[in-house]
Amino acid sequence: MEYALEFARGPLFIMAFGFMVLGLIRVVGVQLWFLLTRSKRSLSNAPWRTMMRDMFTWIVPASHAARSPSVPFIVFSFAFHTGMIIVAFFFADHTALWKSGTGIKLPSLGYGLADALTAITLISLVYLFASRIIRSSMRATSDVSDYLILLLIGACFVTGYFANHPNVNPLPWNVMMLMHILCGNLILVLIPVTKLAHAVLYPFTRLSPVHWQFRPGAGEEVARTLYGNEAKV
Amino acid sequence: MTANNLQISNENGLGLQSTNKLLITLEGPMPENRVAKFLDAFAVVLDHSDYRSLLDAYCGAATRCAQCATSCHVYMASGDPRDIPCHRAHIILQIYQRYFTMKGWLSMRFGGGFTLTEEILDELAELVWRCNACRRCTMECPLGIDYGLLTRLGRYVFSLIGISPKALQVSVREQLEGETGNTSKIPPAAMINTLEFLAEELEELLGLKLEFPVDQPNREYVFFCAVSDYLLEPDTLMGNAAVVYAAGDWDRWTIGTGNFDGINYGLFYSDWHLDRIVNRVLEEADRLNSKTLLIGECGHASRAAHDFVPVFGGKSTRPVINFMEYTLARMKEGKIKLDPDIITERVTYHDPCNISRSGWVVDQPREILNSFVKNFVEMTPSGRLNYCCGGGGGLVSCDETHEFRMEVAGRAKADQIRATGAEIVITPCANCKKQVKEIVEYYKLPCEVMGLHDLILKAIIIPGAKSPRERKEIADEYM
Repeated sequence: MEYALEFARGPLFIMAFGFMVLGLIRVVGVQLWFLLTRSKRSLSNAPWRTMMRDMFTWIVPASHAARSPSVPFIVFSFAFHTGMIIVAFFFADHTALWKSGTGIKLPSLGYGLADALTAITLISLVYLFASRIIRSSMRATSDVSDYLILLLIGACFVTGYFANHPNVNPLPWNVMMLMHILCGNLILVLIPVTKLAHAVLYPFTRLSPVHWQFRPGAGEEVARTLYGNEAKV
Repeated sequence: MTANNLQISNENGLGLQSTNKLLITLEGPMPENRVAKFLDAFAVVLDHSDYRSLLDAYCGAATRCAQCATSCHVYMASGDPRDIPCHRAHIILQIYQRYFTMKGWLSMRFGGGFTLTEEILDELAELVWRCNACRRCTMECPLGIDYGLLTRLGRYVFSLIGISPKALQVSVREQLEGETGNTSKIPPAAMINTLEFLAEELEELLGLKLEFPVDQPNREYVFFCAVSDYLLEPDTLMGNAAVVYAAGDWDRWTIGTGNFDGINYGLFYSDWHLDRIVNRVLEEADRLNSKTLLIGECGHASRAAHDFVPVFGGKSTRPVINFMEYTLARMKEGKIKLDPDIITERVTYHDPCNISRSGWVVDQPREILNSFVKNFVEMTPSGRLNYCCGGGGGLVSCDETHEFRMEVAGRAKADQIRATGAEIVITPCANCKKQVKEIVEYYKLPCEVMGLHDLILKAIIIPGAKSPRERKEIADEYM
């Protein structure tokens, strides 16, 4: 068991983390490449101020939530993401890993605060999970992977909580910790290949005004390729 | 009523459910072997255009949280889950991912995933024309996914294999390859006749003798409206003319006989048509050596010119302004005076999606209206967040969609208008006017629908002309 634990948080973690980094470099690289190879004119035509404003108002959605038809979703979604990101990066045991792995020293979150954020994240997760079952529109657009990813994140938080609270932990510490690390590693691997990639694609999905700058002459080329030079409407 | 609790009267799916039946009428028969044809056309589009990175970003990020469903006027009325924007988008993204990405290739190799069938393709063909491409849902999507752009891409690829509305296709053919060069098939001589008729009407109304400037070179503004306005909206055009005259710009504008049609259906479904129509407009501006394109009251014509002249215009690119921007600017210069005692009715304003969603023309019409309308009331929601009238994205031009536009797509707008209690609905868009007029008739709403310049025409004060009060008295006598 000790060997498995060491393997999971050693080589396996490095592989998962490396896979994530390489995957995200590819995902972001494709988007950056697209931006860099666009014509200067199409970039300067785009309404950057509006795009940036929309990007930021959605990260901190106070202004948006006020008029939204779905306030609870926005509140819980915001709480879910905030709790998850803060705990993943700044929980004391995680910052120790960051320090040993990369040499980067991040400010640390104490156990009390981490517990509170864990609770917030899990409550929000339950809301999001239930919404996907209860609300007909969300149920209609959800498939198995949408539920599994939420369950995986939930499992990661629950196992992490138990591993740090021996008095309530129903399993031996090393078993719980192994489960926690495996869940975490799996999430890292899934980030670049599933919808979790929205973590890094977020700014790029908001660039649709740039994408509306179609390539001049492209329509003509498409028509000629499909119908020949005599293409008619 | 607020944005949070707008109750669409048919919210629980009592409306016209989609029936897996194409809403639009095609020009020819449904093509055979369409899965292969669609994929071929999609491949060519991807090769020559810049859609890949957009689709990559959306495939990677789309979480399908269905927040878009909270604001889709079609889904709210139909209750059909297939109308949820991210459901429709998911079909397009699945096709892209499966057939045009490495991930799709891998999942196919390992024996899983998605296969495009004729049923799925037919459903998509139906769904892209059940969407008004109004982009209201994008305002609610946490990731800002542009479902209007995806709908349009779907329509574009379908149009390349012969699945597009006959009404739009025939109009564009006349505009680009026909004799008259416009979507309503109006010969230049008939357009000049209409202008003479409008001049006579203006003389009777205002007591001013005017001659519309036709084919005048070197003018500041060349005017393009939705060409159907020459047939259907004389009051809007007279309002436009009255403003230009009052502003002292009568010698600074012109209408070209080479091309006088601002309509650009390419915006709704084809990059090819969009590009060509924009360049036809610019050719006329080049021929007349006019500096600025002045676009009449039409949402999609304004957006097609404003957003795509810089994209496709090359060296012919020039400034584009919407007529409401022009009118407000002249008002601010003190050249336009409107009598605040003429319009006593309760007035509301419908924002055409194509000019309001980006925030481009939202405040200008309100500033104009508030300067002379005492009883102005907003719809809820309004501005950038306004609901589509239900005729957007080209649907209003396809008569066969009438039942859908009334029962489903127009229901939210009918409820919004009813809630304002307005007697006059202003909408500065040829498409919206047609749709909202039909809604008002269908739902028996007690109000009149008109353009902003129709209302301005009633209240404008022009030195040397009959006063608005005098005109109102004459009009009342005829009532």
